[in-house]
Amino acid sequence: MKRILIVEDQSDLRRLVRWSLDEGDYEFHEANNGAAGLAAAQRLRPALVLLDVMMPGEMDGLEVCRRLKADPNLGQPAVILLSARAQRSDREAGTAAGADAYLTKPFSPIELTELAKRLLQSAPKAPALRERDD
Amino acid sequence: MISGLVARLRERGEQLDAIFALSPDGFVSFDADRCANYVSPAFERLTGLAPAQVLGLHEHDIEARLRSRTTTGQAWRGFEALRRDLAAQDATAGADGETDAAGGAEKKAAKGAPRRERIELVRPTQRVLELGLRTGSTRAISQVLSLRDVTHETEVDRMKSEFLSTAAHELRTPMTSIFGFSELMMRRKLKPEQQEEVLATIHRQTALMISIVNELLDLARIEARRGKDFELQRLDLGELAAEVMHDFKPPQERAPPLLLAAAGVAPVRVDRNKLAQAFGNVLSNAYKYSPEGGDVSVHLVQAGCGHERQVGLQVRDAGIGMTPEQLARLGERFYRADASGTIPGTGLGVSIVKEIIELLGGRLAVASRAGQGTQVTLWLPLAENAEAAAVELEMA
Repeated sequence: MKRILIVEDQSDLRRLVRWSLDEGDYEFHEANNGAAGLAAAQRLRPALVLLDVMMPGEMDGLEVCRRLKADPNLGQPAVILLSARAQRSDREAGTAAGADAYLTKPFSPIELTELAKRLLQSAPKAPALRERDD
Repeated sequence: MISGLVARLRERGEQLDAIFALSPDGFVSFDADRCANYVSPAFERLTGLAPAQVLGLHEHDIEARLRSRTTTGQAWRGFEALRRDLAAQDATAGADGETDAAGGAEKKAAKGAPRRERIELVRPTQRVLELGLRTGSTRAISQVLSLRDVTHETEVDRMKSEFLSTAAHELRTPMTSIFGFSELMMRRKLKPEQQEEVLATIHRQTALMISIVNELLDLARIEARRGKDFELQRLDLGELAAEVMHDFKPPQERAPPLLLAAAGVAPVRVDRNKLAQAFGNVLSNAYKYSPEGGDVSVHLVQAGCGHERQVGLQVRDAGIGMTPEQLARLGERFYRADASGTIPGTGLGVSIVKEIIELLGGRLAVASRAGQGTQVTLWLPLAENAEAAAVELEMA
């Protein structure tokens, strides 16, 4: 079962993403801010992270994305950025942060599902939880 | 005869000096060799270049001095470029004038007008100037450079577009829910209990969009009219508070707000509906930001003495409160002190309250402590009359 982490401050939107992807055989985890999202990713090592760009708190989605991609212990999770910012410069900032895809809000759940499937096919399987737990 | 002429010329000179001295726009005129032969006082004020530093200088040198004061990003293109623009403009205006008889008059009017260009100065202060050039044909004046301070307009433009993009962004959030959930409803087989939840979410998010749009319109209306449409009347603040509280429906069947210390009269001159709207917003916030419950109380307070005497309608809650950082940003358009994203709101309510109270001659005061609660006071000047002097308000 592939592990998916949803990092988004609006609870309605976390549920929207979860229900959109619910058709596949996935295990869902959620966080409501950047710092919590990064901590969850380090603990869970998800195959895919859905990441809101603008969240309250110190760390925005772009920063979380950069750190996810830079951490060698995370095994390069696929990252889809979700953002209300629709300008080309915003998209470019997403690509520069290492995101695999950038969806602008409002997005189509069907499109999101297709995209997630595609990215997960090429992503490595989720490793066992807490491998070094003792 | 000659002395009369000299006197008239002097008078004319003084007149012109006075006009230029009063003009907020700066001018520099150039002689046939394109050296400055007149510098208006406003030019010095806008650029920090004293007439003595400029008079007699060739346009190249003036160009260099102005450039040294601009931001590196947006260097001024210079006199030559302005003249080229002017020539090109003249050529097109002339050509159009022949073919288009109806638009001819307009084009001709535009022909002599200088093309304006904006530059940003960093010295003597941060300023945006609009430059224009007119060419003359006399021996004494070959061209005139004019400068207009457009710092304020530029700032207003910037704030407007920033506000628009924030507003559009705020609308995208509920739109994302509505668009996404309705697509799920159409394209997926959802369980009955999921369907119910989807509909409830769509309804809730649509309601949020409606309030954002309504409050945006409210704000725009208040700002455009600047209180001119306010119907001011004398009324008692305590009575108005009691009326609003009577009609107020607390959310989730919580206890109604308590009115404490309503003794005495507090006559104020206000627009009843506008003040009721502001007070209602504050009451509703007191409940929203105390999701764990606790009393919401309303107090009539007073401050100052004599002509400075003010009465205040104070709302206290025992809710989540605000940190000093959050408190400092309160009243900013779309700012929400709720980081959890669970308390509904548009981030416009306090802006509206602030606008209304300030247009009524009062002020909004907020004290808050994170985790302990918030106290919001709508301060209003007491209506000036003999009665007002005799008012004795019981302090809460």
